[in-house]
Amino acid sequence: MSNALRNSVILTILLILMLSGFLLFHRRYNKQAGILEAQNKKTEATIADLDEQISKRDSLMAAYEIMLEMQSQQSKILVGSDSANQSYQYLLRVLKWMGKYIPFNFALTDASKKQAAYNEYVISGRTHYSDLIKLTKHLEYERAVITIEDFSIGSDTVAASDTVSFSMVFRTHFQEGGPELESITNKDFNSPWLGYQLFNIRIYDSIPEREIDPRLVNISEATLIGLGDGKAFLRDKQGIIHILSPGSKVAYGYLREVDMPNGRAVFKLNLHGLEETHFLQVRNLP
Amino acid sequence: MVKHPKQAFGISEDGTVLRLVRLIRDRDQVYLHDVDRIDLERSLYNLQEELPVAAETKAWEDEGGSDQEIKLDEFENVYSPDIKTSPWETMFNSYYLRQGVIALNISEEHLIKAQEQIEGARKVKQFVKSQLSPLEFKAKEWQTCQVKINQRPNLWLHKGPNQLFNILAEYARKHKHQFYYQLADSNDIALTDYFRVNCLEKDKRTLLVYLGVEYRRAFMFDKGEWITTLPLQITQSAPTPEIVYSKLALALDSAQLSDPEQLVICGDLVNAELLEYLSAQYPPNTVSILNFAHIVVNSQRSDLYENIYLAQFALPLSLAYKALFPEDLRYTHSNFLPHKTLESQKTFKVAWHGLIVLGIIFLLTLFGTVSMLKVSSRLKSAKTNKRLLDHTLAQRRIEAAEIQEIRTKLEQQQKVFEVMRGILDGKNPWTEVLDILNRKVASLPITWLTNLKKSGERLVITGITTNRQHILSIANALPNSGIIKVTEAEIKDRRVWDFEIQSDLPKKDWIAEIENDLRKLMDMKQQYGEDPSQPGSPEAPKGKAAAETGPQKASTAQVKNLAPYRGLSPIMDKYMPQVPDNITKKGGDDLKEYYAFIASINRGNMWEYRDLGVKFLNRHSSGTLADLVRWYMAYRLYIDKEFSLVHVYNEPLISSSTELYPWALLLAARVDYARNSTGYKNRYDNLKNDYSRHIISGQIKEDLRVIEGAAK
Repeated sequence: MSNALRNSVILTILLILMLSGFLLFHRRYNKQAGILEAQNKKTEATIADLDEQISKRDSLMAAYEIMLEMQSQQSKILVGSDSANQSYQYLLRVLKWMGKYIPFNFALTDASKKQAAYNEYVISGRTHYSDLIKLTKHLEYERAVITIEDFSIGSDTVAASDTVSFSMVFRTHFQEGGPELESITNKDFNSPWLGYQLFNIRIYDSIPEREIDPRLVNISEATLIGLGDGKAFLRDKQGIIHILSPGSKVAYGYLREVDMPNGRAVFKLNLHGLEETHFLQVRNLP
Repeated sequence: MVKHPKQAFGISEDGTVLRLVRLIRDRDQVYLHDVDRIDLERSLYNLQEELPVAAETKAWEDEGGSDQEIKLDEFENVYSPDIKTSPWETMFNSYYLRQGVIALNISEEHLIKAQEQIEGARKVKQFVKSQLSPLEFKAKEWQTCQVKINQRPNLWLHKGPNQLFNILAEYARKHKHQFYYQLADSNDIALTDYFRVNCLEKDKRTLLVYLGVEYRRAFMFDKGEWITTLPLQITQSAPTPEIVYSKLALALDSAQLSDPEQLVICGDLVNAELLEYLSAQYPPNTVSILNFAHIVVNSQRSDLYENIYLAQFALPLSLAYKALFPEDLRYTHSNFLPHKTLESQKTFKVAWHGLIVLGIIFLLTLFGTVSMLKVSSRLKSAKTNKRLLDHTLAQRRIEAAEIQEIRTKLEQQQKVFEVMRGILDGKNPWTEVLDILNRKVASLPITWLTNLKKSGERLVITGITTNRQHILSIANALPNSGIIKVTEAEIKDRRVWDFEIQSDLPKKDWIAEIENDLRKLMDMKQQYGEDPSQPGSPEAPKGKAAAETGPQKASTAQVKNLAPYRGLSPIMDKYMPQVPDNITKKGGDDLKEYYAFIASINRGNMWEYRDLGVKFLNRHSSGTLADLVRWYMAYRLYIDKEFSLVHVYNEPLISSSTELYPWALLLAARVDYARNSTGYKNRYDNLKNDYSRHIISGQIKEDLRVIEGAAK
């Protein structure tokens, strides 16, 4: 093989190598450039997205402040943590908001487990029924998420009593990140309707001790001494004469009518929870 | 041809004498380092039949004797005659010929000089063909050159072997040397070139006389030009000065030339006696010995400083000197080296095909360079851009982190709403209970309660009334109530009735209040939060309008990372609960709402599907579609890894006996498994035992396969 031919072969091989190398590097660089450009496009899109978000930074901060403000004004708030101390203190704060004093026993139950996001407590005692209604409404309607799991009310066996016995099992729920129970403010809501004493005994065997206006005459201890001109004349045990007309109040009731023909006065009295009719016959004076 | 050789070896043969000189060139200065000569028994061209001599080797046999007696081979004289080296090998061995270029002479006997002037390639070729046989012509063992004599170009043709070249080539082959042959020239040309260029005084007619062993010529120069060559008919090997002079005079007479103004002699026959005799025959200062003023002797040999001694080396010195200055155009452009040798020494010779390839390489390089520059520029620009963008992005991310934190807190707040919704669902009815009873009983004279309590999930009240009709009134005021007992009694001689009533606890809609707060938060998020269509949102809504009206089936969510589910893939489409045909055929607004909800589930926007789901449940708290909404909501929360919220929607399905109970149980089992709670085993056992023929049995088997595989 001549030098010229050999050189041509070498040059051809060099040409092929150069071509391969050129194609290889060109392709590689092109690919790298393509990848980088694609990445740059993504980055630009991300930056544009972030720019848009950042442009809202001030308004978002304001919104966050509003949210924090709103959080304290929420109708319900899941507190961040709870302990028996915190819950007991919260109950006292509720009573303060109510402006009432309710004596109760307080205990932590076994149902409070570490895994659960709540603590369970029981309170029991005896109080006015209206106060109990208020306490119940406060616990249920205040901002802190407290659920009353069990509730019992028993009427007082004492006649005409407005107190009841009660026991209540409630749970204080919490979740990390929430506000502290102490920081929760009271909420405005409508007072419960207190127009009726639901557990008040209406009929009883013995007459309960009641405070009677001493100016009113007790007909069981008085004597009808006369009737006349639609009026009844009663003398009490102290000898004082009371002049009554229909509708006049007496102890436990009022004068219903003056029954002249029969010589008696008709009274309506509520001694055992029910309105009963009582008669006083004119007694001739000695 | 080496353009600027540093070292040249001039080798010449003249009859039986072989001479060698070594010149070294340092820029324009030439140094003579060595001269050497050997005398051969016969001329190289008479030794032709013996060359090359191949040393025969005799087969050697080991005559080492026996084990008892060691017998050493003795030196035998039989080897000595065959292994003797040739005299020129001895001379060549003394020099590093491969370190320089080699210039040698050719035999004058193989030189044919054209009588007439021949110019042009075609005429030259015709002349050569006329002088050579076709075989010799085809073999290309011939060389030509144009020699300018007396202002006329003369064509010289060299043919036949060059024995001096052959012995050098053989020597190189034998010793595995790579020689570079710079020049093979005629004696006439070499001598006249050296003399004309370096020694000739142009204003004098000068006769250069070379008196070698066989080669004996005289060259006449006039006005700086070589005008003619005079053959000297000196046949004696050692002629006397008188013979030399007479032959010289004869040659001049024959050529009809007058005596030269200057006579320069060189060659083997030059000696002091000849110089003295010739000087006596010509006018004073006419005769001189060829001097080598341009060559500095660099040797410790004293004889080298004497021109008489150096005169015998005039031929190899002329050859070596010409070889050192190939770029000097004053020298005759002649070289009688074989064509193949010249070609083989042109390492970088490029033919037409090579030129084409070179051209392509050039174009490719040009195109490639431009193209690579473009790509490189693009890459560099992209890299620079990337650095800037990365820097900007890092800065933006730092700024966005704070925003993200706030957004996360907003999201957490929404999760709190979900949790609260679950906690308060069906709870805290007591204020409502007491309010209902207070208002009702207040309208019923002589009626009161003695006890109020909760038994299981039911409300139990006991009380006393004087009117039995009142008992019914109280019972009717309570949801899903029933009179357990009514007994007669007497108090103060009055007939009264003791009663006991059970009922459900009335529902207090706490959700509405929470929803109100949630709506405020969502409004805030929509105003300041992420746009679901922006990159980074879970999924962009697809065809919302169509999705809200057309029938929709929940599709299996695409989950890339199964690690949070401990390897369990999403439930396959074929095992998902579907709307019963009777409801589908019936249609209605609730079905449209359901489809809208399912579309939001498929889109995966948490805010959207939770909102739609809760709204649906507020409007339709019971029924098959409500159960389906609960299950899909729970399942989507499971897919979104909100495991703590799953039970809020899944628990009602487990505690009731709906048709979705097996799916709810499966979901609860998956949540337990994801949370690594041991409860999943019992749930899967129940599923495996009780629902082996249910539609979801395939999914149960698949889940168990994964779970058991992970356990192994």
